[in-house]
Amino acid sequence: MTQQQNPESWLDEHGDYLFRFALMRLKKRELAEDMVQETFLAAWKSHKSFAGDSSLRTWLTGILKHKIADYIRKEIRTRNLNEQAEHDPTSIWFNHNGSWKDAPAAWQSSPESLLANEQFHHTLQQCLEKLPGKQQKIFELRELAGISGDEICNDLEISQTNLHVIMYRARMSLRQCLQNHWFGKKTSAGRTSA
Amino acid sequence: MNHFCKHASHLTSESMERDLTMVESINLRLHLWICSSCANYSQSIKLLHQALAAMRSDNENIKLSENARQRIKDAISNTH
Repeated sequence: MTQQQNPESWLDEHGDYLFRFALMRLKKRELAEDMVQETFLAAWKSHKSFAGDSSLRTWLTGILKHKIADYIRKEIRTRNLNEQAEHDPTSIWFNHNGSWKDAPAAWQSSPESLLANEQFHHTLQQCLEKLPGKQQKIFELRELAGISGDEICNDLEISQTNLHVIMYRARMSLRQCLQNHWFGKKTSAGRTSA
Repeated sequence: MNHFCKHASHLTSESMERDLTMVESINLRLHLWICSSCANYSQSIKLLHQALAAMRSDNENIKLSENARQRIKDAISNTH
């Protein structure tokens, strides 16, 4: 196949797809571009080893996936984004007998109206940024990028149990943050931003 | 019934990550039926999930910039 011998045509055909794949997981444009570039270079260097039993796109995506996972693992390590395992934050939300300290109120909004609201978007973004580093990273991969739990566990070498705890804590914190900065504030003359 | 709230909040989050067992699922549903706080919690994290999912769908048209495309082409041609 001549197409498989020509990295420029790979770029034309799969570049945008790979870029979107990377951007979804990394959020930063330049970083995603660099990863795509490294992927094409690595793919070109080892294209003889491409057996052709998967599609070219699948093969390229596999290379990119590894590079992104390496990058995120390294980021979590170097920025020491680990959760303090010994500190269980559930005591912030629950009494000893397992009842709510601060009972959740009802949120009267449809997702459509929330999403149409720039200010809500901004508040949500700020709440995400308040999450501890590793928790934020993983929650965003799962909920914002829509990556499956299995993929996250495999790529980042964490257990399913660990993932579930991280997701739980992130959801609890985000709900509380949105309650404080959005839903709990609604009564005062429309909506105030956070 | 209060004692179940902490566990119910875990199960609600877990239900978005894995299939609950039948017992878990029945316990959770019964609890949500009688406990408005946990029902509110459940409703709010589902809303959060939907809001985040909706934020995700609008990157379909994102493309590599011309600059980046050229840079990658140059990098590739330097290697062969």
